[in-house]
Amino acid sequence: MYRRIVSKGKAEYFYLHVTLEFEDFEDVPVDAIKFKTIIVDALQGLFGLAGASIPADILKFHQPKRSAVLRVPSSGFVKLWSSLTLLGTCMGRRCAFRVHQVTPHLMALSANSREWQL
Amino acid sequence: MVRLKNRYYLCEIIPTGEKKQGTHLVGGFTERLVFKAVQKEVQDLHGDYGQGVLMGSFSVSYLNPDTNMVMIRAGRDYHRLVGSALPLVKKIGHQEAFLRTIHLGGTIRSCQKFLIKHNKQFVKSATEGVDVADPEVKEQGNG
Repeated sequence: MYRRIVSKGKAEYFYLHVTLEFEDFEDVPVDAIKFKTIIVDALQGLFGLAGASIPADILKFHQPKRSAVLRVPSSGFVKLWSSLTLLGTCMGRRCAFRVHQVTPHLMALSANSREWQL
Repeated sequence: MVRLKNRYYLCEIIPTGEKKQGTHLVGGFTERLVFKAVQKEVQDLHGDYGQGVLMGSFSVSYLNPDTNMVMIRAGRDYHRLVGSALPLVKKIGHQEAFLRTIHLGGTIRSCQKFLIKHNKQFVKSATEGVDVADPEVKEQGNG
């Protein structure tokens, strides 16, 4: 059984699968609240208070790997992505966000062909 | 070649707050002080991005210290970033003041035309009912 879904018009939300990496592989404790703070700080640094007001939500957070699924309205999607890319330090440590997958449909994050082990 | 278009915000500086004793008079605004104040608000509101896209065009091109009128230039593509930051200016130098935008023009000339009209109207309303002996006096204070 399958159901065919046709969506027209622009996507309401975009979903990003991201991971926070630290340069020195230290075991830095980052919980979901800290993760959200880092994202808002990145937005505020690049786009100011107008950027910090973009409602970026964490739908799912995996603490050991520091990876998360983010949801953002499509109007703030490029701003969020660019500020994640340009983030260089947080909590005084050099770090980087890896954006693994980006999609307007949450279902598409269920699989990632780039991480298949053959 | 293409023309680099600009937009000019014509604003009135309205000083607020108490005049402290022993300090300088209310006013004393300079182009540099106004620029710094607006630039800081753009940085707060639009961050490094706002600062970056306006870098080439953003400047204060005219300031009249007598009438506290100031003209702020910004690139046409991103002038709305400046426009949104203008009402948030609370301090210019050490003086508490805010900016009242009265005109948005495409050229310095159109702003000057507006300013002359604006000042003429002001003089007219200020001298209404006053018996001015010399009609030439009414024409002063333009520009």
